[in-house]
Amino acid sequence: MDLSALNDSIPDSLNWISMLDRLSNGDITKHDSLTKINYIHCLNLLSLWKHRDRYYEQIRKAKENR
Amino acid sequence: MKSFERNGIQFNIPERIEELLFWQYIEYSNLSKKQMTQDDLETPDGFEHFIKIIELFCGLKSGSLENMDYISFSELSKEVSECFNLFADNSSSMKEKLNRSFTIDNVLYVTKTEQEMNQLTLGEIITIKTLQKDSNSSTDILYTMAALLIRPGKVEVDSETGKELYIQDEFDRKDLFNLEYRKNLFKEKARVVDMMPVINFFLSGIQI
Repeated sequence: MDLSALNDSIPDSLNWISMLDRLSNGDITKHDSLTKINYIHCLNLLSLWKHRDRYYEQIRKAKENR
Repeated sequence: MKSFERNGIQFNIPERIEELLFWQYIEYSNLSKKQMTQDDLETPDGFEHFIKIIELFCGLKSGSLENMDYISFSELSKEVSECFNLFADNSSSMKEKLNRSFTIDNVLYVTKTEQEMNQLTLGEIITIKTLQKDSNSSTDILYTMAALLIRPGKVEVDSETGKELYIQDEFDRKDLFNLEYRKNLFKEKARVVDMMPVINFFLSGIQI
């Protein structure tokens, strides 16, 4: 999928909020408590989700191509 | 500390690294970036630079020695010259002198070890990155980092090992409200051995 034609992207200034949003699963009431969690642990979790999403995407594509 | 009065001015010259204030260390680091030869010192700019360094180690504001006569200034320079040896400490002996905690105005502040600096919370990282981005001065950001990462705390004794445990208060909104107060407090009263455990992390070039 060619994304280069897209004009809208998340501004850099919202990166941190984007991270909190993902970690809290969209629940704003959890943002405060998330700030107390170890940063490396948060990065590891986001990395896990990214790899897991890619893995399931590959399975889905493989099933579609059968 | 060598303390004396001369020509109506109070001089406080540190004799050990434990007596050196953090702002003196930072200002000296900034001033010493300009390499000076003996010939440079004989120029007006060079001499002015040298006066700033002497004022710094005497704990005086810039311009305090303007009216001092040359002979008195030369004698003062000799007394201050030993301060340059404070920085000759090698890293291993310096590490032994760094404090895990210190008290200013009856509040106990707890620093972080190198290991703890690698275990910062998401809130601490977000605040550091945001303030780094908004900062215009590399000196000012060091005071900001210190104020964020060195917080009030307590010392407890581990019931199993008998070792002292240094426990900082958790980072929360109160730390942001108190940031300017703490920054100014550290600027004025903190010693280099109090601040270096945390500041060393940033001066080592490690980027967060």
